[in-house]
This record gives sequence, C-alpha cells and structure tokens, in this order.
Amino acid sequence: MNNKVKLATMDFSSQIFKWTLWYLPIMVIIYILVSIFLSDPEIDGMSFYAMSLSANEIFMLVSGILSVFMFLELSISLGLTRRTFLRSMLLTGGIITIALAVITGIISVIMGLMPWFGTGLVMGPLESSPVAHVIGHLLTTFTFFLGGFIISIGFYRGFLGGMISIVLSLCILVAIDSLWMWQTRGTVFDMDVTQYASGNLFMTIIFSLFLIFFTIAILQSLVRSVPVKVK
Amino acid sequence: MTNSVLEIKNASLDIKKDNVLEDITLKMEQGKVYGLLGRNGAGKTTLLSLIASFRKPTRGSITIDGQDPYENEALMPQVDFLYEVDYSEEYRTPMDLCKLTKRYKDNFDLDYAKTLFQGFGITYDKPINRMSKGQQAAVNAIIGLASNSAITIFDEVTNGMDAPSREYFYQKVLEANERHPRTMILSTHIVSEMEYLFDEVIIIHHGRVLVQEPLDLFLERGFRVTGPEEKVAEFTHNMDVLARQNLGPTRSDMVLGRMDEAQQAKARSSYLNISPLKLQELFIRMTEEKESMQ
Repeated sequence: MNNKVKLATMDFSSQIFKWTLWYLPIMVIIYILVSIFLSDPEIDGMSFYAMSLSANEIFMLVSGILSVFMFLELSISLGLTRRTFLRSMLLTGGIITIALAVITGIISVIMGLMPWFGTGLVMGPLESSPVAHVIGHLLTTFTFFLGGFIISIGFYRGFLGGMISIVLSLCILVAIDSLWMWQTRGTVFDMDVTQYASGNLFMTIIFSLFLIFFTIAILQSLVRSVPVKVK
Repeated sequence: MTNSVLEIKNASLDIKKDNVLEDITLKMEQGKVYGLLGRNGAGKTTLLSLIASFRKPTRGSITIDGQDPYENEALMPQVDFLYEVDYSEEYRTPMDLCKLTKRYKDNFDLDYAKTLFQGFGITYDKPINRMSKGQQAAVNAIIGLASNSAITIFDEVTNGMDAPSREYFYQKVLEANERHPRTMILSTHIVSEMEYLFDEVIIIHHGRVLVQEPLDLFLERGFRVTGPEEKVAEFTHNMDVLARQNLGPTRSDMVLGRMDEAQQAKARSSYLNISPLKLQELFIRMTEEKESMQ
C-alpha cells in the first residue's frame, strides 16, 4: 500500500468515524427507550448489537452515498489519483465496518451486564452459529457501503446514471441480504427455505466475496474516468 | 520538478453533444505568469480543469515534461487548481485545510501560509463557513500561493475580495514566482487590474484559442489615435478601426494593426496623439469582433 493510500484512508476514516460518534449515541438512546417502554419477549432478550444490525447497514449505505460528494473533489484537488481515491474509500469502508461492529459489540456486552437489557445476538431465536452471524453482518454491512458508493458515483456522473445505479445497488443489496438470511435464518423474503438451505457457510462466504468483487469492479469502471465538476 | 513545460496539443473536449473545447494548442513554461482571458462560457474553467486532471480531453493530449498528468501519481500533486468553492458546509478552519494540504503536497510551506494569513488580515483558526466570501477567497489564494506546486492555477480566485486584498494578492503572485519559480495561470475578468502581472496572454473564444502571445507583443497589435475629428478620420481611413469615440471636436479611434514608418511620420506631422491600447480594450474588441481580427 503506498503512502498516499494510507494517508487518504486515515483521513477518510477519521471523517466518517466522526459521523459514527453522532450515530451510535442516538442508537443507544433508542435502544434504552425501546427496552424500557416496549414489553415483548423478543425485545426483552435482544442485545444492543442485535438492534444495531440493520441500523449499521443503513448507516454504511448513507456513508457510501456521501462518499463521492464529500471526498472526490477534495481528493483530486490534493493531487490524489482516482485509483488512490477508490482504494482509500474501499479500505475506509472496511475499517469503518469493522470498527462499527466492534464498538457496537463492546457497548452490547457492557449493556448486557445490566439487568434491564438483553444479550441475544439476533432478534428471535439464533438459528446458526454466532460466528456465521458476525461474518454475515460484516460482509453485508460492507456491501451496503459499496452499494451506497455506487449510487453516489452514479448520481455524481448524472441523473440517469444515478437512477440506473440505484437499481443496480438494490439488486446487489438484495442479493447479499438474501444470501445471509438464507444462511443464518433459512428464509428469503420471509419465505421458509430451510429445506433448500445448504448450510454451507464457506460457500456463502465465497458467493459474498464474489458479489463484493463484482461490485468493486463496477466501481472501478465508474470511478476510473469520472470527470470532477467545478462550480 | 525543474524547468517544467506544460504542453497542450490539439486538445478537444466534448460533453454530451456539446463541443466545449476544440483543437486547443498551448505551451507554457516555468517562471512565467499566464493570463487566461475569455468571455463567460468561453471554456476557461473547462480548459483549466483539463490541465488539473479534473477531466480528460476527448481528443489530443496534455503533457507536463512529456508525461500525461492524468492519473499520474507523481504529476497530479504538482498541479494546484484553485477556484471558487462553496464553503457553506466547511466546518474546518483554514489552518486545518493548510495542514491537510501539507500532508499531501510536500512543497507546501506552512510558515509562509501563516505569513500570508497575517498579510490578508484574516484569522486561521475560525471555521471557514463562518468567514465572509472575500475571506474564503483569500484562504484559496493562500493555499495556492503556499503550495509551491510546479503549476499553479487561479481561476477567478479574487472574486469577493476587497481592493486591498486583491492588491496584496497581486504582489504576492509576483513574489511567489520569484521565491519558487513555477508556471502560474491566472484566469480573470478583472483584466485591467491584473494586466501588469502577465508575461503572456491567452485568449479563448467559443472554445478555441484566439491568441497566445507575450503581453508586450500582444499590445502592439493595435494602437489608439486621438486628435481633431477630420484629421483622425483621414488618418484611419483605410485602417481596421475596432472602435470609435467622440468627445466634442476630438475623436479617438482604436485601430488594429501596426503602423509603418510613413504612417508614424504622418501622425507626427498631423499632431495626432498615438497611444498603446490597454489589454482590456483589445480583449473586449477581439472577442466582440473576432471576424475583423482575422
């Protein structure tokens, strides 16, 4: 990794990390309010981590959507190439995904020590191993970031490109989400497909990685020649 | 980088169906200040964004010392492009931006930047979005001046600055080029104020280069004849008159072309006043009356 990629990754990550410092406390407050005021066996047993799964994905989707508008023009002005920008953004997405999961996990463990909050890794019964859930969460959240990134670069290039990128992004996100719902819950679009589930974690990871590399290839082709707009 | 040469050869840019720039050929050298002039929509900013690798030309080439700067990790930091930026959502301070620039551009001189902040009379620890438009423009100017990049481009960077700040900026442009020789490109609409800064003038019109010439040579393209109406009319009878002004019995004609010795003698004998044209006058007439110039 060259020095410019390291620098840009540090700068992008620290900027997005500042956004998480707004997002996480709000999520904690929501979790406390939900735990206090809603009385349901599933909610009572739900940990902060379980509640944050979907929220983290949306946070990363929004971060991805903001990425090009916040950092592309600045990067080119600072003399970074588009390739360096892309690599740094991808690394940033990975770092924030892991950081978010770790911080969410730590908060969850701390809150789980208190009698008022649950410790369940997911909402409802756990149907596959915790490791599968964590890997699934990390890969899905990172893909949400990439999905947002595609929407961002699509709209940066133009309205039509933006609309197409939304459809493309939705397809990718539905694909990864379905893949992991199938793996961890045995459901796709709320349909019980347990009987068809392979239960093969390794294959699910391989398919997820394939989807991620496919998304990165699309991003590469979109970022490579993107004109930076002035005024 | 030493003695860098920026060359643009037959560069064109199409955006969708619009031919924004056509067959641009220019050469710029280190140590010179280039004035880029053009009417609104002529393609100045687009041309500058090609040089800064913000865009890639559809046809033709742009090279710095023979290498294409587009996506070139070594060359892209050597080009600084400063333009009017919307800072309404910029919560960082000018010093934050200077430090950020320093991280990516080794030649950035932080101490010199601090001196420039003092010179412009602005504080560098206040969020930029809380500064006036003129102060924000000064921040841009400071980043460009202190960057010491081989190619520094200021695109209407004085917009919003008050007169003393503009004057200070002009002084510093000359000083900066002495401290650290570079290719400096100034795009502006305030032609009359900045004329003395330019070593060469580039005029683009409807996406094409109309002129690239040293300023003194360019100003010799025309002259102004002032005197009694009949004598001026007789003198300029067969000349290419770009504009005419009358004040009572006095007439002043702006003429395109150079006088030969016989014409100079005739002007002297007729007691006509011959004066050089100003850049702004020539620029206005050239871009208004392009056909008559060719």
